[in-house]
Amino acid sequence: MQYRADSLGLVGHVTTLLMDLIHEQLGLHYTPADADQVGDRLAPLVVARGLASFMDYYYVLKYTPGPDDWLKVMDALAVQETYLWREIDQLRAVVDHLVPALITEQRGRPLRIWSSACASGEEPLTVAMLLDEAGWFDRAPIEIVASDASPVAIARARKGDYTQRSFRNLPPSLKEKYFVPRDGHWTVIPDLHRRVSYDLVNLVAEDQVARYASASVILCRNVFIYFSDRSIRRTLTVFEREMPSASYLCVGVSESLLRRTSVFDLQEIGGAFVYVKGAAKAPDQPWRFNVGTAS
Amino acid sequence: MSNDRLPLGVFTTDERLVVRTWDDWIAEATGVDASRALNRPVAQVIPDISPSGLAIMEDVLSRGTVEVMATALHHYLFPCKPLEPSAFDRMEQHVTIGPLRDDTGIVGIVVTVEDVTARVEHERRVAEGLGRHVESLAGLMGDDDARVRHMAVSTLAHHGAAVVETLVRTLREQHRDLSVLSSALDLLSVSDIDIVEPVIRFLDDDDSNLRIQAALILGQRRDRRAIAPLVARLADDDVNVRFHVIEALGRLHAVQASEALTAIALEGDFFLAFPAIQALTQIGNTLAAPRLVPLLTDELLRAPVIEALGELGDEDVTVPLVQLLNRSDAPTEVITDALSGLYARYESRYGAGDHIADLVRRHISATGTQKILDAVQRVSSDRLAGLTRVLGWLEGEAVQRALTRLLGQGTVRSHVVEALVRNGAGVVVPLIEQLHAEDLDTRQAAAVALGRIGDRRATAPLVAALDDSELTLAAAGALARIGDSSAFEGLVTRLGYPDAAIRQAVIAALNSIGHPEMPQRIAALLTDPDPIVRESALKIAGYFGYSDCLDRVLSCCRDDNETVRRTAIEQLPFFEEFGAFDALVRALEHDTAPVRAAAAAALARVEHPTRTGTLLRALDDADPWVRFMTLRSLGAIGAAEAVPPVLATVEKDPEPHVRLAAIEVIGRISPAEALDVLEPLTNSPNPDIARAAVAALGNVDRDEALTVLEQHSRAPEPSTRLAAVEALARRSETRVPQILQWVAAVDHTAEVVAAALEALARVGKRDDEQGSAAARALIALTAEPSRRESAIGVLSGLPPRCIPDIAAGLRHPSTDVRCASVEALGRMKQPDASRALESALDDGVSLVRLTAVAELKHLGTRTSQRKLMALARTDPDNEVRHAAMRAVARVDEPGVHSIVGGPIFSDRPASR
Repeated sequence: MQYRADSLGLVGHVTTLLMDLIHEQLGLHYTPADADQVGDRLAPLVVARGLASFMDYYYVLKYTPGPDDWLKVMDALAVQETYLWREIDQLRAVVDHLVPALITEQRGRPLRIWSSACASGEEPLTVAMLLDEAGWFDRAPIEIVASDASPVAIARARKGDYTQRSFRNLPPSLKEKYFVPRDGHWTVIPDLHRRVSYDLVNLVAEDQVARYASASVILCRNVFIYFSDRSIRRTLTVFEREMPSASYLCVGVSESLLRRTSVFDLQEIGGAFVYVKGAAKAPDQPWRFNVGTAS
Repeated sequence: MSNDRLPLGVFTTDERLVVRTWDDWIAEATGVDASRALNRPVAQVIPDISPSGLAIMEDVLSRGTVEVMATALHHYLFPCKPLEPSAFDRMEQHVTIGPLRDDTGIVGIVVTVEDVTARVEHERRVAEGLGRHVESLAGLMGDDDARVRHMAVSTLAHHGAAVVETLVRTLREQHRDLSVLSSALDLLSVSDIDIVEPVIRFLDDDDSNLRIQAALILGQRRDRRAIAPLVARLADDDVNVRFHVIEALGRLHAVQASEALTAIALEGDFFLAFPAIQALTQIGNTLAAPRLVPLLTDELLRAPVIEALGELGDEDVTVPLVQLLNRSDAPTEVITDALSGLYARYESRYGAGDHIADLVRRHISATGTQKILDAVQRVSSDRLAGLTRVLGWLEGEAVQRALTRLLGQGTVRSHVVEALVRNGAGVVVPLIEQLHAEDLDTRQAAAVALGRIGDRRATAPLVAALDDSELTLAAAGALARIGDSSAFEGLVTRLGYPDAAIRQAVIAALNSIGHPEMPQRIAALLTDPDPIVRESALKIAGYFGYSDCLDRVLSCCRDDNETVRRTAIEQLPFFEEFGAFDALVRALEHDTAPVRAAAAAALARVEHPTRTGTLLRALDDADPWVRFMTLRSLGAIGAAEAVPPVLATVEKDPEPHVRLAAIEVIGRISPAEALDVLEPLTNSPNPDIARAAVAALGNVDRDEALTVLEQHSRAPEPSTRLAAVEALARRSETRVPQILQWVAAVDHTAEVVAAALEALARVGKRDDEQGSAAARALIALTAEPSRRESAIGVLSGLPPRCIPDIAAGLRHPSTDVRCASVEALGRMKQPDASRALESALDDGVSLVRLTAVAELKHLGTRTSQRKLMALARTDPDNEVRHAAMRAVARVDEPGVHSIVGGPIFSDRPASR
């Protein structure tokens, strides 16, 4: 048997069919130029299934997917590039400006922060560290929920072990405070780890998104760059519908929702840009952008 | 009419306007079905056809151009009611008429008719809502409100030719109002009104502002009638007029202006030289490049000249660029970008990029090298590409260290890996160091590069890297390429790796090593307590067919673990001396569904008199994947007795993918009833079934199958059109190339166009009439600007026996096609092709002769040198003579070196 992607026939209309199906199910957007990359990542799944071609794998995924077939595809394709303290200004703005305002407004009700594309957990742990450093866990009920569509990523997040790669931006003092060295890796301390709960959520599956979309703060950073316009719209529709008024949506610094939504306003808060739903306005912010009509 | 069909129909005629094809949409729109239309003159089929439409058809037949009957002017080709409810009494149609050609010339026309009633209705409602007349509309063109101006423009466009005079008067009377001129430009860009001739006349107006505006408009219109008048205006008294004329000529890609623009550039007046250089770059006349070389000494013009040389130049400009790079004051990044562009162009056109790299290597100095090394440290990642590519051509320890450090730059990593692989053994040690880099991408790239270099010094470090969970896959892949048996132990102990991708890479690596101890080790691992290890061992045992392992493989067919059993079944056919049939039948009849499916698939490779009967019984298996694999095997075997039950499966199986597999079998076996079964399925509501039926028709040996495929090559779904194109490529009718040509010319989906071109390439390689027809189809496609470069690329890859067909393009009536044929022959780099293209030196059009000179200059054959020298003396066109002179002087012949000139940057000051 041969295992290389090019011997499994990812060519011509097979490429288009498979990528369209992946887009429909997972929201991930690929072009024919990505065929080699997609083929290399999926080839082991094709072979593991005992199949001889990508065309047969397309039929499996479309007509008889097993309970974990799409999860395996997601694991194979997901880009897991993340690290602690990534794009920290925005997360500081959340902790320093949004959290105080929301805690006051919610008067004792738990504040939920949802990290909706957490990969192996670095982003929610960063939020947890910031909250802990500011003493918030002792003062107010705050719930951090983290999710990803990749089971492998969530398994790693639940394990809490990280390589040096994840620490490239984290101040050394925080690394020493919140992580312990173990067998060449670093493990997050239990007190911080328990602040985050993890779940599997596919951001283009509306019922799954609706589970946590009532959060007051949603972090959806560096995931829309892999989505088509249609997939982004699907996810945004649920956010628009389910998020409470006076809630906040954070996307990556290279991403924009301008012309995609009329429900959120773009505001500068604490030196970072955040999308705000409803009449919410962060304290001490005299001005705001209106992003125009929905697409 | 199906709602999911495009509102568009097509019919064709022969050169006497007798209808040859007539599709369903046209039949519905005209009320005339195909049986009453075919083989009758179109004027009889549609008695009330538009007289202007008939005239245009005649025009197309005689001139061979593609004509559009714009809705705004013509409204329709034939009157009919709209097919959808509308306020209009008649359908508004957008009509395109184009020639059909073969090697004898134009043999007919093809007409597309698009129903644009809904769009026109909307536009009319908007325009009529304003209720204004032409004159007052023209006045509105000066309104402050852009929306009002836009509405005025749109409304005016509907009033046809009568508006031309209004516009011209408005321009003359109000042109000082910039908003009016802006509106006029808008109108010109959306209407089909020809105003080129009036605007050309404005070039002679006394008012210089009007001459400037005329130049702007003509540049935007891109109508080649404007070229000669604009060239004449290069002598305008007003420097601002000359500036805009230069820009317009650039937009028009006016090759004829190259000589004049080069002269302006060489005059050195920055205000005009700069746009002249940019215009030459847009025009893309490569013969202009060497003449710009002296401007490399001009500090103001140096940067645009370097960019122009990168876009236009050939190997002759490489050395001057490198000599400039060696100067401490020269812009390093700009020059390396230009050299990188030269390399890419030489590589894609001629496969000779290394020639450019070699020239750079020979002429770069230590200063030039150090400048590049300094620049890669300094610049941002988006400026690294050109620097990295050039650095990769150079040698030396400092260069190698710099390249290995650049592995961390994602934007240039692939270039760096290529360069490091070329360096080979010299970079192995620094690459091994990079296996421990902090950045994962760097570590992985280092592993990939080490694998491709294949140096066995990397084996031990790569085996150690197998323990880095993020690097295991890349390390295993590299070890597979190196094939060093000392990696054996490190790999075989990892056959139980839980990640399937890594495990398969380890298996592939072991397969490539083929260690002498492997049979015994594998035999032992077939009884390993870990089922993953047993599975991996089975795959290796099957790959090599180790006969000593057979007993244990058979035991694995009865393993407790289902995956192990399935894998064992898959390997049985590879044990050549063993009759696997009985074991496979036992598995097929008694095991779990995945193992039964594997057995059904494996039976395709094991011959036995009762094999087909066994498989036919498996068509009744309860599991759909068992039935699926059974059908695959029946298709591979091609047994005729399978047809009746397979036909029943096509009709009745509850699972779509099983029916799909059955459809494929029908296509492979192609029984007599195949067409009758498959044709209705091509319109199935399940797009996968429709596609499978379309694909299966590729093998059905009936002429009608071609007609069905042709229809589906115009289906709304791109994936269906793709399937149709791929199926067409498997057929042998001589009409196939013509159909593929049509798809390649008009399809609006890039993947379908690429597939059609690839199909023509495959067909073109056949040694028969169909192959020749494919070559002719590709020649014809070079007339389409958007397809030209791809078609030339495919033509240049055809086998030498196609040279006469390609050379026939040198006699094509279209200048563009003749030029394309010259380029294709030049890129073939075959002696017969080079000889054939020499005939283009006698072409009546100077542009074709220029193109031939450029190709022959590159080829440098001895016979062409003599013809080029004759051309240099006697060609009636000045530019051709100069080009021929430069082409001849490229060869190091005594007495002609001074024509091109010696080194630009030497002790002697440059002169103009």
